[in-house]
Amino acid sequence: MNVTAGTYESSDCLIRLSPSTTRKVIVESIVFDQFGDAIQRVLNDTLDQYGVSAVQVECFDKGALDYTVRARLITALKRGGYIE
Amino acid sequence: MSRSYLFIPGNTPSMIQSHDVYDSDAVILDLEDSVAVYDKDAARELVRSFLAAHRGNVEVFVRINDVDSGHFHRDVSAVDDLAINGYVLPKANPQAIDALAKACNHPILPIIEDPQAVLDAYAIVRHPQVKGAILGAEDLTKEMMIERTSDGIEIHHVRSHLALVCHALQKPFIDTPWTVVDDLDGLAKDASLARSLGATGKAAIHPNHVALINDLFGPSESAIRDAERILAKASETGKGAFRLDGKMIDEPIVEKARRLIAAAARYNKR
Amino acid sequence: MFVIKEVLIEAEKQELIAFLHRHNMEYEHDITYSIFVYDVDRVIATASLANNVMKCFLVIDDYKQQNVTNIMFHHLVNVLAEHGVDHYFVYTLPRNEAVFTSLNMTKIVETMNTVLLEGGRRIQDVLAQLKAQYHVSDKKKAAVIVNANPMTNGHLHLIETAARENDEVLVFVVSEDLSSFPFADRFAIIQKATAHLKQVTVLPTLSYLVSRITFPKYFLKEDQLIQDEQTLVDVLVYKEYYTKMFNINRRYLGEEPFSYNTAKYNQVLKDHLGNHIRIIPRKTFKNKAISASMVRKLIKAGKIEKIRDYVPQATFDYLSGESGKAVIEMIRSHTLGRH
Repeated sequence: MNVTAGTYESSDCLIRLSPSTTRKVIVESIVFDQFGDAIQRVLNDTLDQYGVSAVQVECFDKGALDYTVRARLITALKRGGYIE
Repeated sequence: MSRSYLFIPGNTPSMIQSHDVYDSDAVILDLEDSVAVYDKDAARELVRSFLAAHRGNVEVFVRINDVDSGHFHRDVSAVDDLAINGYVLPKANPQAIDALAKACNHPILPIIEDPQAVLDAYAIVRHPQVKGAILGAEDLTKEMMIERTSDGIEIHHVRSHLALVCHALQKPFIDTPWTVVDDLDGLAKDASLARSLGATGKAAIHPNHVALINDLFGPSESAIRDAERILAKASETGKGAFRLDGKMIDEPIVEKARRLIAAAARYNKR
Repeated sequence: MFVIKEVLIEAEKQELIAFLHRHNMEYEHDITYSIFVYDVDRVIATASLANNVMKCFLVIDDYKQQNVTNIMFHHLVNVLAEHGVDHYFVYTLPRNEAVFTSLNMTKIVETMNTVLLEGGRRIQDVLAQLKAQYHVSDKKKAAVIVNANPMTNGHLHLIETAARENDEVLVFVVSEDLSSFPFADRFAIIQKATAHLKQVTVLPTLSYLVSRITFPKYFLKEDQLIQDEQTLVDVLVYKEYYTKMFNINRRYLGEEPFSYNTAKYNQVLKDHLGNHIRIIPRKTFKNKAISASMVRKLIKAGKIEKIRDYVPQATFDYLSGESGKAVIEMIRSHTLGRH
């Protein structure tokens, strides 16, 4: 089953994790042009930090700052049992 | 000593982001009542992540879930290694304070929100790690099955009692938040009453309440002037104790005056 | 600060009905869960679930910021997740579509008065998975969609006709478990009864065809007349997704002499799909058109032996077994439904 964390409220983002054999990071953002790369980096850095590689991460961003993206991803990883 | 303590829902990024824009002296990032059960883990992580990345110039407290909630220990450890000004502990009682004091290294602001806690207030507030007390009148009145009214007659005695306890222990007494968002006249009356009974600050559940609270709980002009005169005489005489207006002034009074002036400066009143 | 309260007791339900009526909305009777949003002591919004279909969203004028809808949506998604449901739908007016697409829901179909959206999963992915699971080829093929409650010789005749005229036939069995014979058993019977037809693959419709979601009126107990539009969502889902994913170029239906509503459904299908639809006459036995409802009536009357003439061996064997006997018991003690 998919795991999610976060909401679609302004300044938040929703993270959805699905099973995958490799790491896939997909970002959809209302500010994709300016911040798409930054969001992707935060997601990848966080996954690196926790040593998680086999997962598909979708991020539906509504203008979240880095610490919010990071927090939502960590919450989803914990909910999905990818980390403790 | 902060005048206003604004509650900010711990799972709402847009409000956390703006936490220092609301002009309150302190914010309370909330993991308890404003966060649904299914979001407790998300809120904890968000508050942690935010605190690890940011520091504004307001005091930051975190309201954790109560000792029996099942979230208590995770809440405490989520932020214990970060630079917060303290924990706000709901449903406080002496045992809960002991448990929290053992588990953490930060100051504690208990919320007094049931009859037994009111009666045990002295024992709660005197704990060395406790730095003041907050009154939670909504839960208190619900517990007692009495109506919470706008003129606050039902909590009048409790306010006085807590004011006495806190002043005796020289710790702040923070009044219960006003819950009618659009009624600023009601807020003004309520805050004035609390102040007149000895409250030193007030909690708020809406940013619109902050300005009024700051105004009402800041040092008054006359108090500032008195303090200025004390400090003026103190520097004039250069002694630890001296006479002013025919009365003896000693060090503790001078210290209080110094703190009041510092607060006034912080609040841009001087 | 908004507070969400669940609608639990009768008094609250009456308040909800009144609240909806004041804003020109109807309370729908398939609702299984509702919430109110309070601003202190004032109700400012509501939303409901009918199983995994979200409906009856209402935010009063003073609070018409997106955020309240967001909060309610988030709560409903969490309630569903608590029950292990990660796939949900919403029916809404076309003018409200944007509200739900900003919540990352995707449109499935649109009629003049309504839009159906889904969240959590996407129909394209689900059907692609179904196709892979049953190893369906990319060649042109025919389709039959049956509830088969239970399977009769009429169903068999329909499937055999399609098998004669096409290289490959997909038999979609209605997954919705609202019939006297459980889905798993209806499915197994059809598989057994068509085992001799190598070009036939039996597979489930899943929740996108003839389901509570796409065609709720199909399961109405009384013969209430339904409007064309109420069958349209189902027809459009079939046309825009199933035919494409499975490369279906013909769908076989039995003629409908008895039910006004089923005849209406067939007509709507014909209107939208033209020659894609092949309607064939019902199989008869001794001049009587065979139907599943007739078989159920016989079961209710206790005339099990008489059923032999109307059903394939697989159905009769089932009725002689333990599960079959339980179903017979159930049919005999309850009022019969339309299907």
